[in-house]
Amino acid sequence: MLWLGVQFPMLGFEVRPPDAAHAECPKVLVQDGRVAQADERALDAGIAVGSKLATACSIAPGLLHFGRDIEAEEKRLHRLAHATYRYSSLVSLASPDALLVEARASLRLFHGLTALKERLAGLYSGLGHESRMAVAATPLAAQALARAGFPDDAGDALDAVPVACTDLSPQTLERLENIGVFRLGELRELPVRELGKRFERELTDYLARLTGRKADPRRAILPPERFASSVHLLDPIRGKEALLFPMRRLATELECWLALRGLGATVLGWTFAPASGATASLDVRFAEPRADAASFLALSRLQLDKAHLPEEVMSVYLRARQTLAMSSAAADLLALAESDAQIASRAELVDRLTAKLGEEALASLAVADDHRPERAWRRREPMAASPRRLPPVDGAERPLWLLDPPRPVRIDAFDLRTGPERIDGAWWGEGGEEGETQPREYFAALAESGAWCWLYRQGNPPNWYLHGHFA
Amino acid sequence: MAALPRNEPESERPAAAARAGSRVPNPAPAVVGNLENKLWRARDLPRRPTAPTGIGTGFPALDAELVDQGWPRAGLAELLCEGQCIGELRLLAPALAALSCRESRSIAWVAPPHVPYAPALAAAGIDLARLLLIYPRSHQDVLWAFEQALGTGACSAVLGWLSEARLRFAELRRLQFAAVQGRTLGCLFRPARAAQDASAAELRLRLSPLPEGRLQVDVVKRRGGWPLAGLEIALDTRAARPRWLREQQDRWRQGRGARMERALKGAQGPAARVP
Repeated sequence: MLWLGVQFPMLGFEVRPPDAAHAECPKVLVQDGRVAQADERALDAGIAVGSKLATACSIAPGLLHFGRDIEAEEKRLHRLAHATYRYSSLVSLASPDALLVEARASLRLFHGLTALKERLAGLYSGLGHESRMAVAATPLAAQALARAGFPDDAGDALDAVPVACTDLSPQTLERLENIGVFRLGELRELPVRELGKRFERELTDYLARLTGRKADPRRAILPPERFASSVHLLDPIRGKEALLFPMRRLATELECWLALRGLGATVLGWTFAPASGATASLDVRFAEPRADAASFLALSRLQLDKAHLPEEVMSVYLRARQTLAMSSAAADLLALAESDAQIASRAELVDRLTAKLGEEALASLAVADDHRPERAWRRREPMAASPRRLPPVDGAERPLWLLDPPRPVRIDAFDLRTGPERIDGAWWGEGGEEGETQPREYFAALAESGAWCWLYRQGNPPNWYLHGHFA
Repeated sequence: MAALPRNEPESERPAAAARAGSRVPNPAPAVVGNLENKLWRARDLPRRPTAPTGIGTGFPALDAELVDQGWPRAGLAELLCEGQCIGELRLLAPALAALSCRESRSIAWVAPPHVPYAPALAAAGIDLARLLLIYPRSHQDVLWAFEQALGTGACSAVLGWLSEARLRFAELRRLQFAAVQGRTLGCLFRPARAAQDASAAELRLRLSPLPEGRLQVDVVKRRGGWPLAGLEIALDTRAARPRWLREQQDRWRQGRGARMERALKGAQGPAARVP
């Protein structure tokens, strides 16, 4: 096994919404009145992790401090783990701020360790996280190396890792410090038996797992069955354009989730919530299951133009309301070869039109099995499975335009040319309307304007109706 | 440099050449020689391309007058109709039938004025699975949908009916550009009086009805040729159908005859056996 330790050094800061106004200030996270984490500016100012908040404030007067939100960090770490599941089937949490990824099984698929690390780094930076990675043969070594900032164990880097970077309890760490052990190398040189006598079993156990002398099984995470995620903003968003930024982040998360489950989304549900008041929901439908963030955003954007949103949006939620297995059908080879121009599929066009014009604005046609002309066709969903192709019937000439419903006309204005063709009505008497049960006689006629018309007469004395145009 | 000698009076030219002497060669031929390859001349347009590059209209008389021997494969064509429903769709139907069978792309109808009648379309050989009817509400939406259908390349042909009063030249240009980009045939149906206005469409045909189901086609604008008036076309839709379809339909008709005969025999059979 080859373990990839991924550490998120700034996770505590990253779970907070971005705050452009105070980007320049040093920031620290506070837990129990002490600095738990400090960003680069704060460290540069001389603030040490573990110092009291009052001390830190006196060192850097412009210091911003936040309470550490452990719950949010845990949640975010879970989400990162789920995103990582795409690259390995064994992803394990190493709370509070690290992941352990089994990389050996994924090397071949992703063309080696370097490429895999690049992909992971891209994934995390896309989700807005700084990451540090290290490779080692045991999970604990990978974790310690990542935390210390070494890429791997080359040149006995593990021996140089400070003891403070390990998972040992604070008491043990303090005692080690007291006997003058600061690095793992110094610790490993000490005889194990004596260490076991002086320290609790925790330390020898840790060392055994660190060096691989003892098995260290890890619990793998399982990706969730359903996707629901949200972004909470610090400042309200007023414009629809600005909303696209949090939406992009959610769409990217959804893309990861879909990829690892081999699914495509057919219905997305966005919810936009103001600080108080009614929320607005937006459902985006796709004709075919989709799995890429770009098309989620493009279509959501079209619908967003029409939607009524709260004036100030504080939170954005995304759910995958309906998912389907992605079909792995290949694209048309000939169509691809024919031109390098961007050829969108019918589904993409339908999606785009539906998003802007609404579902009722699109239709397709099919032939229906009925002898009455107005029932010999039907509307079909544009993406419905294509109808069985009937044999090309070549009976009497039919017009290309049908008037629905037929329009009563005066016969004087028409010059009858061919006919009559007698078409019976619903003689079985279930046509409903009077006009449908009676037989009709159809004629092709020439109107004064030069248009070819399809007329019929019905009843006694006959009423004339215009039913179509031979356009 | 090349333009300079042309501006000089004719009489001065030999003098200028003499002044230049034999030492400095006249640069003009070299420049023209370079330009020769880059200049597009109307006479370069192949009058009769060896293979048809357009979509055959199904009417040989019309094909012969078009430089692509058919409708443009990527571009906007305008059908300017003298009156409504005079045969403009029948003129287009053979090409649509060919497109629907040869390509897997859709054929979109944007804002059709009536219901396209499925049985008639199927009988003309148009695959109904390819059809996509779009009914936008406003003029802006019609234009948008038309441009999307043309430009995305998801359609092999897009038929559009636009509100004439609000159509601008710039919009036609956009549509023509989108059609070229998406490699789509765009068909725009407009009244005949629009023939006077300028248009960016690649092909413009004015259609007027003649007696006995014929159609007069005036080519208002075409690539590689002058306008042309008075082309007469017989809209015999059966003859214009593709050959495979005609054969299939003939077979179907024969089969129907045989079926009816069998059915009649079957009806008589038991009766004949009754003593």
